[in-house]
Amino acid sequence: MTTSFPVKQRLMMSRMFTRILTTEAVKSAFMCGLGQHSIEKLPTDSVGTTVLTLTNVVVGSRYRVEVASTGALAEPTANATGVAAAPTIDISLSRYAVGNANNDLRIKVRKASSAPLYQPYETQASLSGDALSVYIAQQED
Amino acid sequence: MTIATDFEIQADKDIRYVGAAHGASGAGYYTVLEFHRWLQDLADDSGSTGDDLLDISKATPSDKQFDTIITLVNGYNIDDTAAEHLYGGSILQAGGDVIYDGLQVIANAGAHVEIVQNGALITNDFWNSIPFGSSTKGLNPDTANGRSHRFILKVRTGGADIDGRRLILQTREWGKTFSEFKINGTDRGINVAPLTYADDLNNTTASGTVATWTDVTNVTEGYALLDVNADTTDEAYYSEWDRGSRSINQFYERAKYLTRRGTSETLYGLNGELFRGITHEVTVDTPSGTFSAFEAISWSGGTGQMLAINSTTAPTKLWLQLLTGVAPTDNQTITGGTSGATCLVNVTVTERTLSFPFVGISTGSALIGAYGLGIETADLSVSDKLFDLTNTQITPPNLVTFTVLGLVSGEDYILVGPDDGAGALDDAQFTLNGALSGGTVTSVVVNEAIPSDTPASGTLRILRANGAYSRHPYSAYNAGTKTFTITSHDFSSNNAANGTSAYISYIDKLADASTATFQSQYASDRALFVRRRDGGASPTKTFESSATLGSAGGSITVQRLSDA
Repeated sequence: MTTSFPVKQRLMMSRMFTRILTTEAVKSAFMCGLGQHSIEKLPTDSVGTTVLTLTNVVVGSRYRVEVASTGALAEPTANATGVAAAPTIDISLSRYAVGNANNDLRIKVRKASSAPLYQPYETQASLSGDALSVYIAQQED
Repeated sequence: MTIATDFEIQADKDIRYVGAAHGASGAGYYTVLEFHRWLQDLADDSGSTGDDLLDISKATPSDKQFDTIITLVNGYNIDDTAAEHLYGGSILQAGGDVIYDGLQVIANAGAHVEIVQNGALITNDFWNSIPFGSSTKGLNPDTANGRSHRFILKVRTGGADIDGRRLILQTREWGKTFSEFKINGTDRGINVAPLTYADDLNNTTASGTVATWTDVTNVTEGYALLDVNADTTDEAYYSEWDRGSRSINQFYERAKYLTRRGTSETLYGLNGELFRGITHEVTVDTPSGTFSAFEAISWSGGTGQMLAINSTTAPTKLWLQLLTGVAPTDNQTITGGTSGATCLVNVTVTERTLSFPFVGISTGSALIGAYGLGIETADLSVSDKLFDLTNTQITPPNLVTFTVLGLVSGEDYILVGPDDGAGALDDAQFTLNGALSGGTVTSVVVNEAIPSDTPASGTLRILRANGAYSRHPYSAYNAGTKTFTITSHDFSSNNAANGTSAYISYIDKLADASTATFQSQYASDRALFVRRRDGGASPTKTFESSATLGSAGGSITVQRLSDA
């Protein structure tokens, strides 16, 4: 069985069943015996999540992870900014298809409201299928 | 008020001061470090508040290299008004195309500081504002540490340094000491300028009074040859001041008046407030055209005001006050702004020391002149010191005056001549070298050396054939040839024989006042013979006495005893 509507994902599944989804986002089909389930998504859709780990962060620093090209918060936005309660911060972020600019991130870490004060720290990173760890080297200001 | 309320950060990254004005209650002033801290404090906020549009979503606004050097980055910027409320270091922005450098003045509280930048006084002297609640001028003072002013000033704009970031800070307050400190290119951080601001004990006359002393004039603006030390060889100066009827200290006060803050006077084509004197002596060659005696000049890399040139058509030296840029260097062309004349620098450029005020230092009764300053010789005493354009100290001669007092005008004839050491007139002070027998004799040559304390002009008594000493005015003498130049006289009859006697009659006249004087250049004490006679309608006995002309002058009061 083939899909007849635009899809965002194509899945390969072992079970042979067909399910037709009527939403505009996903329409999946399971072929009996072949275990194939395909979902088609838009090129701009997330293809999964990756954990971005910030290490060596000064406790109390505010961090912000944003799309480098636009300055917009990375998705999901609720995860992309906050105040470090510990030196290591695990941030689950949406990952996109290879080549998507949304994978290229700018990471800002700032602590200048209470002593000890630190110079603003910025770095960049690119998401992939693998977890990513970034060492934050803040310097006292 | 706080820095947060005094400044706002606009959406376009313009950081502007919105607090109270200078001198008003609540006017805020912050160090550049405090400014940086405030920006960074906002930059780590989750969201913007109030009129400060800065939080973690915005680009980093500032970077600190040292506590005194702050760079605004990513387009954040201040304007000149905001800069007036910052101190304690430098602010760089626009990638270094705009720089405000820190200045700190070390002076007594209340000093009024002027700044000359790029050849002109900065008219917006905000740093002299009186802070609210204070009674003295000076923003951000630290009186405990002798700092009268702390502020920042723009020294670079549009990617170009303003006159090489050179600044002249000066104090020119009436009644106070004048001072100056030149910064030959500000550095990042705090540039310190020590100035003096204290009562000038030799400048106590009200300015309104000194304003009327217009008889103090510069007779020669430009190269002037004067024989100040009376050695028959002229020295060169760049002025010839006439102090008129004023004392030497009053001359000093008048000079301060001409160059004080707010003056409208002009010296050598410059406003008095900008006039400093000679900063450089330049050896030149290859002239073309005719220079003015003084004029604006320029060369590649600088401008100046020429104050003197030793020849307007064939100069070998000129003296200038540097206005902008740097002094000229070897082989550069100097061009006259008015004359269009040119010459080339011939290797040597000598920087000269300035005095503040420009005339030099007053002791109250004498002047220690500034480099190159010339004053009429008649206005100087042996206590004054001048420095000619070769920077040689020149000391005026000790001109001493002998005064005869107690005379009756129109009745007493007074004769003052050399004493022979025995209380009598030395009428053979000289002997003639050659007879005087011509009809129009103007030269009298003597055998003896003419003393160095002989007045430049006066009268000579010469023994004639009939035994009388005739009186002859002389206008000059030549010590080398032992020759007096006398008013033309007919010696064809009653001539004066070779070897006959002559003497200088220092005072030789019918009194026209109650006193009679003569002045001479002191060399050593001179013994004088004084004779007064009045054989007229109310005759008096002859008065004769010896007297001494010393290093401080001399005097005698004649007696008038009736001979009726």
